[in-house]
Amino acid sequence: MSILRVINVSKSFGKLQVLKEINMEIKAGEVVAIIGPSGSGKSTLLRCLNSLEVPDSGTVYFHDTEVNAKTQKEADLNTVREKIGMVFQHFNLFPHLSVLENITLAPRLALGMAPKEAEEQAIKLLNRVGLSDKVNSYPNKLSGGQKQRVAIARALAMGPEVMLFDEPTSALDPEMIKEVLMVIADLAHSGLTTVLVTHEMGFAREIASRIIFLDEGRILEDAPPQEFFNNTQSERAKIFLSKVM
Amino acid sequence: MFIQVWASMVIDFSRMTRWIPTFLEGVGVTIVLSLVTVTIGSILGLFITLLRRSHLLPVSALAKFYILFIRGTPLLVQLYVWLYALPLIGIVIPPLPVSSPVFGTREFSTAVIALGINSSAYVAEILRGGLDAIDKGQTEAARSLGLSSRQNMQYVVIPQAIRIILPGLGNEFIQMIKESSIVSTVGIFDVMYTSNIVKAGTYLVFEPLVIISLIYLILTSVLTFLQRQLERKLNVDLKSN
Ligand SMILES: Nc1ncnc2c1ncn2[C@@H]1O[C@H](COP(=O)(O)OP(=O)(O)OP(=O)(O)O)[C@@H](O)[C@H]1O
Ligand SMILES: [Mg+2]
Repeated sequence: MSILRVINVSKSFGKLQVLKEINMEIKAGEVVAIIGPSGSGKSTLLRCLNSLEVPDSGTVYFHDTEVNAKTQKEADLNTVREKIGMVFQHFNLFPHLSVLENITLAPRLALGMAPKEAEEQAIKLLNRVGLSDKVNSYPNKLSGGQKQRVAIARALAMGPEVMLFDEPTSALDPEMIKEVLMVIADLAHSGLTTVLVTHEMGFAREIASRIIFLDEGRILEDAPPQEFFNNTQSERAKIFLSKVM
Repeated sequence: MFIQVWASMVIDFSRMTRWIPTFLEGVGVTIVLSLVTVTIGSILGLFITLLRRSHLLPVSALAKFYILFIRGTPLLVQLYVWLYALPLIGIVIPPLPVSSPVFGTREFSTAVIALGINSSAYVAEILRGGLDAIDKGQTEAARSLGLSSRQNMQYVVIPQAIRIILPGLGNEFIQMIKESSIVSTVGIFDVMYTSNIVKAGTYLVFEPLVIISLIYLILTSVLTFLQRQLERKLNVDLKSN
C-alpha cells in the first residue's frame, strides 16, 4: 500500500529547474533515504510531500488525496499534514514555549486533544527520545541534539503515518549526531514509514530499505542499499559516493 | 552691540512660577493627544497591516501606497490638509462631544485624526518589522504539524513578534510626544502652545522656551526609561524561554 505518491513532479525557482519530472512512491513501512549532491533538489522534493513547496506541474498524493497547498481547501490540507510529520535541519522549535508546550500545542489545537491527555502523551514521547528531565525547559536551554529530539517528539505527537526528515543531523556538533540517529533508527525499526534526506551514508546504508539518489533534479538510482552501494549504476552516483565515503 | 544686548538681557525664571498651572495644562493636553493618537494609530495600523498582507494584489498595493504616501509627506502638511483643504470638498471632522474648550474644538478632533492616521503608517511598519523578524521556519514547523494559518499566527508568530512590536510602539509614543507639538500651529493648547501664551503674558521669550524644552525632555526621558524597563522585561522573558 503506498502512502505517498509523486507523479511527474517538476518545480522551478525562477529560471532554475530544481525538480524534473520526478516519480516516486513510498509504501507503508518503508524507510527511504534520499541522498545526492548539495543543490540536487532533495529538500525541495521532501517539502513537496507535505506541500511546503507546491509543484509547478505533476501531482503528490497522500493515499488518495491530492496534496496541494494552492488548490486544496485549507482544512483538508491541514488534515493531511497532521498525518505527515516533518523534522527540519534547524529544528524550528517554538522558542516562546516550553518543551512540553512545544509538543502539546499541535495535538491540542489541530486534534482538539484534552490538555491532560496531550501532556501525558508528551511525557511518554519525551521518555522515548530520552529527555524526560527536560519537560519544563525552554528550547534555548537545550543542546542541538536535545532540540532535535524534542522536534522529533513534537512531530510524533500528531501520530503521523509517515515521518519526513530533512538532514536532521547536519546542523549538529559531531558528538550529538549519534543520539539523534539512534532515535531515528528506533522509529524506523518500529515500522514507522520514514523518508530521510541525509548525508550520513553509513546510517542510510544501515537503516534504509531503499536509497534514492537525486542529481540535478532527477532520480538516477532507486534501489535497496546493498544494491545501491555495491553495484552503483550511474556514473554520477559513483562520483558522488567516491567523494562522500 | 551684540554683547551689550547679551549683557542687558536678564534671565528671570522667578516670573515663571505663576504660569506653572498653564504649563501643566499643556502637559495634560500633549499626553492625552499623544496617547489617543497612538491608540488610533495602532488600531488603524493593525488594520493596514492586515490589508498589506492580503493575497489580493490591489488590496495590498493600496495599503502599501497608503503607507508610502503618509510616510512620504510632512505631518504638518497632512494636518493642514485635514483642517483646511478637505473641508472645502465637504470632509469635515466634527468636534468631540465634550464641553472642554481644548478637547471640544474642531481643531482638536481633526488633529487627532490627522496624527492618528499619520501614526498608523508608522505602526504598520513596526508591525511588519515584528512579523518579518520571525523566522519562516517557525511557520513551516507550525503548518507542517497541521496548524491552520490562523492558529500559526495566533499561537506561534504573534506571541514572538509582540516582543519586538511592543518596544516599537513605545518608541512611536515617545516620537508622538515631540511631533504632536505641531498642533500648536493650529491653536491647540499643548505644551508647545503654552510657551506662546506665557510669552504673550510676560514678554519673555527665553524662559518659557527653556521650560517647555525641559518639559519635553522630562516626558521623553521618563517614557524612555519605562520603555527600557519593558524591553528588559521582554528580553528576560525571552531568555527564560
Ligand atoms: N525558495 C527557494 N527560492 C529559490 N531557490 C531555491 C529555493 N529553495 C531552493 N532553491 C534552490 O534550489 C536548488 C535545490 O535546492 P534544495 O534545497 O532542494 O537542494 P538540496 O538537495 O536539499 O541541497 P542541500 O544538500 O544543500 O540541502 C538549490 O540551488 C537552491 O538554491
Ligand atoms: Mg537540503
